[in-house]
Amino acid sequence: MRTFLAILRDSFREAVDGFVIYIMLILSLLTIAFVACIGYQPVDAEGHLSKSIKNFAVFIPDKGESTAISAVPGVNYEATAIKVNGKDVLFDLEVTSKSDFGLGKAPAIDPFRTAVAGWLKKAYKSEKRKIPAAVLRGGNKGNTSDSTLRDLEVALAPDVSAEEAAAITDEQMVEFIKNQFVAHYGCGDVKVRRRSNPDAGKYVYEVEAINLRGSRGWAHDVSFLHWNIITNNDLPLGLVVHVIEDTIVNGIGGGILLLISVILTSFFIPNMLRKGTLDLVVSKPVGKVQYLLYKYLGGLIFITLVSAITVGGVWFVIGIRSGMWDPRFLITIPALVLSFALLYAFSTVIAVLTRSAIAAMLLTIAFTFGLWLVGYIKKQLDVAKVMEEGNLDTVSSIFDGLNNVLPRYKDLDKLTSKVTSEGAYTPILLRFQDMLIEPPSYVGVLGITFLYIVAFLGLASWRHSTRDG
Amino acid sequence: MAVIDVSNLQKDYGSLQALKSVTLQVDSGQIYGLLGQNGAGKSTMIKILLGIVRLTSGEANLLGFPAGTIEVRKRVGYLPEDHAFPGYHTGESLLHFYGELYGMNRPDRVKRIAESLDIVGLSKRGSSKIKTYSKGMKQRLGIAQSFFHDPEVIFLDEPTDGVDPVGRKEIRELLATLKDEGRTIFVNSHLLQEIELMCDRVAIMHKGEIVRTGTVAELTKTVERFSITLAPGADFPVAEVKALGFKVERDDEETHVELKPGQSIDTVLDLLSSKNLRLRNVRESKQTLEDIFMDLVEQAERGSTKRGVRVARAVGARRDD
Repeated sequence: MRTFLAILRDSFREAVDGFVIYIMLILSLLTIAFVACIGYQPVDAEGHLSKSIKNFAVFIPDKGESTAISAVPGVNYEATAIKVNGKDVLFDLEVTSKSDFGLGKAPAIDPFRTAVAGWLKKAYKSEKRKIPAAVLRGGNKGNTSDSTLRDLEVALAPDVSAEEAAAITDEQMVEFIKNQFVAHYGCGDVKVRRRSNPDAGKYVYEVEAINLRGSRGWAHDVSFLHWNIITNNDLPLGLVVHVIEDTIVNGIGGGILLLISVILTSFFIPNMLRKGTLDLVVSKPVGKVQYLLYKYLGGLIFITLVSAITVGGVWFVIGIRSGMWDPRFLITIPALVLSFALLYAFSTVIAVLTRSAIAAMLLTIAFTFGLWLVGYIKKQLDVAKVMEEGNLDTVSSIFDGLNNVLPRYKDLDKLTSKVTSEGAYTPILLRFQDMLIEPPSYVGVLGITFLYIVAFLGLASWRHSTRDG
Repeated sequence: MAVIDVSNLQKDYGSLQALKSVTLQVDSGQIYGLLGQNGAGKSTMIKILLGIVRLTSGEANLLGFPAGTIEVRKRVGYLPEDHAFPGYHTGESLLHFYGELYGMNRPDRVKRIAESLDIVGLSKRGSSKIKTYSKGMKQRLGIAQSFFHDPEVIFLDEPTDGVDPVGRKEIRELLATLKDEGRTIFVNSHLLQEIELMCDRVAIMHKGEIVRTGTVAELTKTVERFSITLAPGADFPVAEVKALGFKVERDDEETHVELKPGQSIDTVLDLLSSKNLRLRNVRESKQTLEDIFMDLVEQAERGSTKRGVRVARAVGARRDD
């Protein structure tokens, strides 16, 4: 342990002396400052609530636990008598439950009660369903011919009998509405009281939603310093924050951090292996392989510190500015460290084989770019496959194969994005995401990445230990 | 028991034989010098003893254990040739780093580092960055790091390299002190005078082979030699002196007469007197280690040239066939 700490301190001293740590910290602070300049202002309650409350038609079966989403036709939700108290919103929720199926007949089953009964039951197993490609594109609904339909794996909503619907109690309806606030807004502190109403097929509830306007499902305007950059929109806060976390911090920021880290740390191992320097250390009672691996770990700990400061700082300022404090964003720290561990292991092999910092730096950058390119092309091909754009089977299988055997650099990003989205999105948004994007497997991504790290370090250690001097 | 015990040590770098069946023993408490030209294999041998380079065949033991083991390295100090200390360290922080690798605790390190830097004359610059040090200061720091952890054996590869004459003298005195403390010091050098001044025993290495070992006195007293200058116009009777059994060499100014055991220079002087040849100068020239070294190298070179000629002849003969 003492040896490890000594080498760690030595690496730290090297990083400080070469201004590596200062460069990294400045970049880290710039990233935090940039994110801190982004402000989030909830949109007006009147317009947004009237629009967004209609989405309550969609619900998540199994009391919000299912992976499926469902909807029962004939239920309409209206918000009236809206009063705003800071971020709390008080209003009347009017649920109109009518279904004439276009035939002018009274509904055989109350659709609202059917929805509540469906919400209480487990969903069916998943099956393939034809989804219009236009829907996937989020665009023109007019272009939905059979040729543009695409098979997607979806979970099916449960069937509900008339008896089951009729047996629904007032309390179950209130619980359903409360859960809808969680599912659609991520707002869990809601008081709901049914108000008596003489009209058949109409249910009226008094709702007091605490911090509804600050919830992750509520649309927010976005500003940078005092310039409004996104206004009058329906973008939920969670989506905006996740774009910042995923694109600016984990994507662009993480990419820049890794690139600069690769450049700055590429000198560590070659410096250690310089003639006249290595002999001094390996003549001491420390093994050659031990010294190499400790140096590697030193670089890794250094990046862990920088990542923790950057991501922790961003998490803190986002929390301050938006009120979203979900800790799952912090998963970005080990994800960045793992990505760097892979690249630094590659850099270490090249450094041991060539003893050249320039070769280690350039080849590692090329390696990073190569992995990113394979991941990027695979992603584009996956989208093209879903959209059935052209015959890409051969190219696609080549890149699937490459992606399977190479370290999953890009897939690691996808997994990180998935975890952070779980901390930012509303449950309904997450269900939509899961329907459209199939995440890579944890075992595959982490397993292959670890295997490569072990293989690179094993090769470097073997070469280093068998090389004279 | 020998502190350093090497037998039939061989090291090949591909087709190049860096060490050819080297056998050497160094006893405790000596300053032992390994003399040789650049590329003779001196550094390779030290690196094998420290486990930095792997041997091809033979045996190398240090302090009774196979050379290069971690346990042995704890008891050894080493100053490599062309060392490059990390410039981001200060003298003190570097010694602290190395001390931690040796497993020294902090109070010991603080005490020993201060003492060692003082001994090598760097106590005032201990907290300065190494990149601000001159070459001589780096060399002194290198020597400090080789002994500050109280080793039993110290290997110094070209220890006076880059050091001014005053500094060299101080290093010689320091090595003498370390020797008096009972340590064994193994010095590699191509600086013959340094070896002659500081070492108890010397081995001369040429092209990966030990060609001579002994004390400096033993090596330098082997031949008695006189340089004679005659008055202008007088011609030295080379043939007659040679006829008396002496070895004679001439240059532009002097005639050198080499004596074999039992011979006396008086025989030559009597002959010159009998021929009325007037003397201007007679000087006994004791052989230095450098003379010995140069002779040995020349002999070795002649040997290898002869071998080369023989091989060439043999090859030529085969072709002729």
